[in-house]
Amino acid sequence: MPVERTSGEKERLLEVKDLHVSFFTPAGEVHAVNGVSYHVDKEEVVAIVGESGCGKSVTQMSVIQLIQTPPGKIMSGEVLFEGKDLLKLDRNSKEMRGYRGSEISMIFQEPMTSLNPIFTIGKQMTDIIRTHQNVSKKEAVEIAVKALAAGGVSGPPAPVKNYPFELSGGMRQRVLIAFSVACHARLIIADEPTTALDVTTQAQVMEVLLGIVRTYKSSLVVVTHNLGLVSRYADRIYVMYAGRVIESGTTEELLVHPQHPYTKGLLNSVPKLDDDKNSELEPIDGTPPNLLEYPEHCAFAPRCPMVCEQCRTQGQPELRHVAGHYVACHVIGEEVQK
Amino acid sequence: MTGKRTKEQSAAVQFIRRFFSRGIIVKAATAIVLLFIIGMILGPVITPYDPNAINLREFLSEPSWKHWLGTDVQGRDVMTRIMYGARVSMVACFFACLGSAVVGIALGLIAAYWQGSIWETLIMRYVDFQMSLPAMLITIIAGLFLGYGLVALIIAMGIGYIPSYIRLIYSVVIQLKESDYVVALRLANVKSFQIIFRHLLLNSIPSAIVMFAMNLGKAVMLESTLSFLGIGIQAPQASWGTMVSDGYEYIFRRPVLCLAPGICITLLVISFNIIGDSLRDTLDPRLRGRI
Amino acid sequence: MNSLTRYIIKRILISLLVIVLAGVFAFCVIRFVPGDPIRAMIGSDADEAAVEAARRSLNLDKPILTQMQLWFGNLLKGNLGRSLVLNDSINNIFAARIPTTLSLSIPAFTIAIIFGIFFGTVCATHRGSMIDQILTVYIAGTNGVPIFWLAILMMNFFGTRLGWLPVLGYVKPSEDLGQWFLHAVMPVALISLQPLAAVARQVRTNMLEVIGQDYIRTARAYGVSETRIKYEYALRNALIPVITVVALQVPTIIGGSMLIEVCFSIAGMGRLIMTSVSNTDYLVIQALVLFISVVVVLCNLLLDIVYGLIDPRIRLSSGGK
Repeated sequence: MPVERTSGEKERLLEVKDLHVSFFTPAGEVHAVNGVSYHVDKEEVVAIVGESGCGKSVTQMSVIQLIQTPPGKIMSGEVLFEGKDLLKLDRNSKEMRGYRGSEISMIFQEPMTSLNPIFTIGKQMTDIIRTHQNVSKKEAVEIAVKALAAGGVSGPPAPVKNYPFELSGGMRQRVLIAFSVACHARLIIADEPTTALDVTTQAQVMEVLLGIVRTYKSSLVVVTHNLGLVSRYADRIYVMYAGRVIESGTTEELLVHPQHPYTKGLLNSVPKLDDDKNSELEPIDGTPPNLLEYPEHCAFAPRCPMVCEQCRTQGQPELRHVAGHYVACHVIGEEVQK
Repeated sequence: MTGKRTKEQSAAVQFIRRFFSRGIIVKAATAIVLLFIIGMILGPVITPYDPNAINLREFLSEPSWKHWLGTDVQGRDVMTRIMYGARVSMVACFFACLGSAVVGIALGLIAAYWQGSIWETLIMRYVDFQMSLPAMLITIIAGLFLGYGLVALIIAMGIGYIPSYIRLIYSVVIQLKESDYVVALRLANVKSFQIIFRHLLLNSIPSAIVMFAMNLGKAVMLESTLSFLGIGIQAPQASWGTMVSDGYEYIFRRPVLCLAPGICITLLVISFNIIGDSLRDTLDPRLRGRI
Repeated sequence: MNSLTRYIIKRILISLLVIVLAGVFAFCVIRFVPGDPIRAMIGSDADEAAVEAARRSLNLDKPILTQMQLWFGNLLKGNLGRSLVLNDSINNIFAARIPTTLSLSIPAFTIAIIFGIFFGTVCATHRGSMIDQILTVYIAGTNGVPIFWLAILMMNFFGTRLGWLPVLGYVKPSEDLGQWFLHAVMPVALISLQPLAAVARQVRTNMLEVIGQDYIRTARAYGVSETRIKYEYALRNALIPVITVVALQVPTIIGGSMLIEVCFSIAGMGRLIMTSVSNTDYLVIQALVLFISVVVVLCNLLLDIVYGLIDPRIRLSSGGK
């Protein structure tokens, strides 16, 4: 359930402005992120939704400058964390590393391979804890144990002396969540946190994540292609396509009144409990665009059921305020303006 | 557009393109090997000299238009001896590697397919034993039993490389056996014989080819070392190894006698290694680090 | 019994089996070699009586099974037999030469491991740089340059021309450390050349593979510095499989010793192999085969155990979920 909120001013925790990220491959420049802007407020749960390859993971990794450079490169944009532009910091500087894991921590999709197989959980956690906090080994272990408990991995005994291969996939993911707790992260970015897990475990992991967000008053960004997840847990949703945000709004608004044809298509292609048994799922025609040759016009045009001549010539649509949320579409924007 | 064109290119052309994609080094290596092969085949035809003909009036002569690399202390033309030496080296090594590949692959298949049987234990423990001995020692000892001569040398060298194939094929087949692909074949009641030959063997061929190229390099090195020590090809026959040992005495007066064969060995072995590396990357980059 | 113990016991059993197999092969040498091995050893002009006496002293007149019993019985007592050619007990012959070979091969082994790891790490962490390219060429070249050729070139250059280093012979370190060092420089350098390249290559491959792994990404995502990631995490992960490659270098070093000792006229085990072959001293040859095999198998066993201790996945694996 979305976190209850007192109305009024929400403080901005993270603001991403017009981010452009490209990868330079032997085949050419892959435009992975093309002008993405979004924000996350304090104590919010934000979901970023889109199909594989739409740039959602790359965006998140760019926030903490984790992209492999080369071949990747953050071309332009700002990442303001509490007002400070993180992209101005040098990638390997102590300051930037201070943010990584401590203020902003990222949980990846593959729990099976994200932990170092030859070091104990305890060693990995205490190393990280002591990178950010000036504590003794003993104190670090205590922090680790508490963090593991918060992550729902308590034992007894707490698995500090265990090796990753001794834990199941769900437990490993919760250990990774415990990493962010141990470092008091104020913004947790979860990149497809449940994709590699079975359904029951998915629910457990999400409950743990949300419990932590509530207890420690952090914010959470969930990157996923799983709309079901999103509907239950997120306050606001951003929909991405081909490296751009094409629709955004509160969860309820977006899911009940989707505006962008892509969003509508996404919702139609997911089975719902109240669907007619005999109705068919409607996939979206066509395939995502080739990011090597980024079009000047709307990237969704080839697949859009509402496409018109203007869509192919007018350039990239900007996000416009439409009926309670923001949509990037020439056709809809025009209707509104009328 | 471009997609359609690549699909139409045959597998062979694609293979060749990938193989050479690493750059100039692979092209150079292939060129060198081809050069030696040509020299080996055409050598006896082009050269007017007999590699063993002693001509004391022209001993230790400088490289000149008459004798491109000069002559050795017995007046034999160095260039000719290099070409004949190439023949011996490459022919002996090729057949040694071929023989060891055939035997090694067969034994590897047997050991892997009948895993858990006495055959597997015997074969694999024998491999452990043989691989604990240096290659040179194995060849020398085999030579004790086989006697002298080119054929004996080929067999003796071949024995040394058998375990490398056994281990390789064994590990490849063991992995394949557990794959869903083979389990499906078994379930479909495909006969063992067929499984072994068509599926397991065919899938092992790429790795075997890579190992073959690598072993060729090692064999050339081994052969030249043996003939240097006076064990393999014996003087007065021309072999690069014997040329080095003959030429050592005159390293001041006529360094080319010693340098030329050494450089040839180096070039050929490095070329085989590079080709082997590139083959491996072309056929299956997953093997990197394992072969 | 935990899984580490099970692992070690399994390795020990396999090693024993291989050693027994080696014993059988060594046993077969003199019994299956073509020609008359006895005459080959004591001289083809020896009279019948001498030949018969020799044959009896080697138990060759007894049934095969008895021979095997006696052979293995002797081995277990540590008796390797007696050389008819050198007229001395093989144990003595070995004992005189082993220290010499060790004093060259152990430094070579150490150098190969230490510098191999160092070069391999440098290549991986400075990928594409000048150093990486130079080392890559070195590694590739070492596999191609014939060691005997390099040996004589070095002997000629450093020894004869520059006069810096003595060319032939050997001096025991106990007699004169300085002289030993001068005599040992070239041999050790040459013996260590190929193993060093092999280790460096493997370390580089492993490090490059490890650096791309997800768990390294996790460490980076939590602010661990690049230096620490490379040298504390990635290196440890990469080095574990390197133990296997190190084990493979033992026969290479022995083979290298064989060649180098002959080139430099050093009276060690390596040269003993060559002289025994040219003297057809079959008894020494079979003892050598067995000895070398046992040494290598034991080294492998040791390294396997170290591997088991270091890699927690082997130590604990059925310790389960």
